[in-house]
Amino acid sequence: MGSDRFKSFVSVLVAIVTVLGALTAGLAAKASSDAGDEDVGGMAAAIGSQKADIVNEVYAYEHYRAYTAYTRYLELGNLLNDPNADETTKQLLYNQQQEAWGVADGIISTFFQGHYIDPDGTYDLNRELQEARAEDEQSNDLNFAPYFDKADSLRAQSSFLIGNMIVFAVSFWFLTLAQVMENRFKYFMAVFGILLGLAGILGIFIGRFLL
Amino acid sequence: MSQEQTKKTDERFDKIATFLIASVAILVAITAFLQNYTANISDVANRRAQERALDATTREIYGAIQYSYQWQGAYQTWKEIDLQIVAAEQSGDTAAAERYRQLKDKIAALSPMLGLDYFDPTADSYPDTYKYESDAYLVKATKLTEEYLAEAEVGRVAGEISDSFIVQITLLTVSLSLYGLSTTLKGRIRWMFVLVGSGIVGICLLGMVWEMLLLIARPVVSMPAINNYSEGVGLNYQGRSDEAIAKFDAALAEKPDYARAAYDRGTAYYNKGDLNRAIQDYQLARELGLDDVNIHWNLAWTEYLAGRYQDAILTNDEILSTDPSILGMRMNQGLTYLAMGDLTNAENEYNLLIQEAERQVSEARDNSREPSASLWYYMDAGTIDLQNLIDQLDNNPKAWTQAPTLDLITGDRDKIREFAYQQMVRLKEAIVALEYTGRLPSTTEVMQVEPFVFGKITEVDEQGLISGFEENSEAVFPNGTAAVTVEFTYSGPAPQEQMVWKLYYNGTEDQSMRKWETADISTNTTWYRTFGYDYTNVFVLSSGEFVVELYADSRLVQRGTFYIENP
Repeated sequence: MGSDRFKSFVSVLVAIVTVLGALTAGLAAKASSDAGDEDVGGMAAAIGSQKADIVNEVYAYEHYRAYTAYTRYLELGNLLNDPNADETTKQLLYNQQQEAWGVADGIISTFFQGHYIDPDGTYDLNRELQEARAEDEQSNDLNFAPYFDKADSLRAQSSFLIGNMIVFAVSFWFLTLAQVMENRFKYFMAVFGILLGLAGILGIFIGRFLL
Repeated sequence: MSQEQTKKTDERFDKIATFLIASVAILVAITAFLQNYTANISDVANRRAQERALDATTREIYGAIQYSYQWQGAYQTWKEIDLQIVAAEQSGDTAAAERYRQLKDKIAALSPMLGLDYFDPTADSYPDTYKYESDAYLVKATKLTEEYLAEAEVGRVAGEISDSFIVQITLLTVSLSLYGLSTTLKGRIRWMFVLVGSGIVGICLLGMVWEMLLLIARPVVSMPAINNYSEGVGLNYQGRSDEAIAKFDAALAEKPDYARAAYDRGTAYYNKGDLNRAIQDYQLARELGLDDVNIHWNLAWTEYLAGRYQDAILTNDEILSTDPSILGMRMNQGLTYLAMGDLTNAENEYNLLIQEAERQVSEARDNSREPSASLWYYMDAGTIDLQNLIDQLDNNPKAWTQAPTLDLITGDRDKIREFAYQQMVRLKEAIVALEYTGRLPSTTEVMQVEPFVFGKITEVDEQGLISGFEENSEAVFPNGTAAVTVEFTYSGPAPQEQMVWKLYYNGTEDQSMRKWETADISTNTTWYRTFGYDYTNVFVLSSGEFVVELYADSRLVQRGTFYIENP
């Protein structure tokens, strides 16, 4: 190959490597930008999730407070019973019992849902919280983990692609030397440059499609 | 030089320039990679910091919600039933008392805080809320907060390194431009371009090495240190100072620059009464970078208690010189001068304090706002501190007294005591006047009140007026006393605006007992005011010291003390 033709060939290669380097930088920037977007989306889901959980916690404990009052009156009604008392006292206790149970019924019908009371009489706070969470998840995206996983993956992609730019830069360096050298080493330089350029192209594919 | 030589020289220069450009391109790529790497570290750390901040806040809110239920939902109900038992027993209704006892057990079963880990229902005491809060959320929330702070620090440092790499890339781009321009020039000037460009590249190389060293030495999130610290915070909150100190020691062993661990260890030593170790740790925390108002405040206060007055003055000045609106520190400064016998500077500080308080109240009122409640809080605390100093000077320290020991108080003690009392009265009057009228107390004549007479009402006539009063000349009442009545006799003008009664129990005002009156008392010269629970059969006054103060038109006209004996 004549010297001028070789120089022209290498110049074309330098131009290609430069364009590929710019393409790599563009892809890396895009991946980095997308990672930022995923982080924002993930943080929005995390905030939504925490907000939903806090609101549910407030309501659940509000209901549990009502359940406590309910228990107080229900149990008081149960205790207002003395088989050994005289008739007057029995009637008085009966009246008080009716009143206590009435208040208990009023509380359960207005301030919390009776189906969270387990058969043993305890209040299933966790069940209420989990049901409320399930209801929230039907209408809102509260799962932030996939967003953050995707962001991490995109960051790895971006780092890889930026690292790949070093390969193109070294390829560019060898091709430049091949262009300025006059002895036969210029062919070795060109070959190294081409091989590194090919490695860089492979790197683009790996970074873009496999990571 | 012949044309041929010139051409060869130009070609050689071009080749050198091209080589340099290609080499710098590699450097740019490497720097870009490092920039991207550090930016990713920063982004991930900042995101984790945000997550932890969110988690910490949520954990605190959960804790507050749960604690609110435990205290006011469960314990309040339990306590109400407990009081019903007392009332039933007082009335002789043993059957009702028994019913309530069984009901109380049912309620206790609903709350972990009323379980045996935190509460002894047979003892006459509250649940151990500190332990419950610590176990339920405080340690976890502290841990998350610390993780947030550590991650944010990692993000900040990595972000700064990343920014430095961006600067280096920019400079390398400048050097590339200089190399490129040099190929268009002739003569020696082109070498100047190469020289400057190469100088910039050299600087960038040095910068890169430096930034890489910083990257390697960047802060890390030390979970063992954070875990120990968080547990220490929980133990300190429960008043378990020795165990907390051991945890803070472990945290500092893991991370010697852990400023908050040093600060909290100082607080644990303070709680133990080891003031010198507390001062050492507060100073260590400052050296490690914790330099906010709180640490100065606590350090200066501890230095005051330890009798290191000059240090305390310097510490207070560090904050007051830039922010004179911090009333609490201003009061501590006055107190410090007072304890060292420097009455001139003490008076100056108290003058500045009153001026600043008046300014804050006027500013708030001018903007149709109420002054911050912290104003009263800190000024009240200032009067308590003065009373503590007086008690110490009287060689009559109470269990709650916080003041330098008597041997540390220097100067003429009689003058200090007199001055402290004057300032305390002045402060107390200013607080009442600012709170109720929005201005400082007037200098007009007010009524003179004879020393209070304590006793109990023995007879009330048909109109409800008191017709019988039994004086207790010692002002010492047996345990179980439900109420104590103050008889006061005055001369001079009756109050024009208002009368305020304050009752202090063991050094702290019981605000539920505060009375504010605007009634005309000019129809008589002797009146009565009862403090206590004579309207119910459930409560009695607790044993201890009760100080009664009477303010007429915001002026303190009399104060007296009575005691309830121990059981």
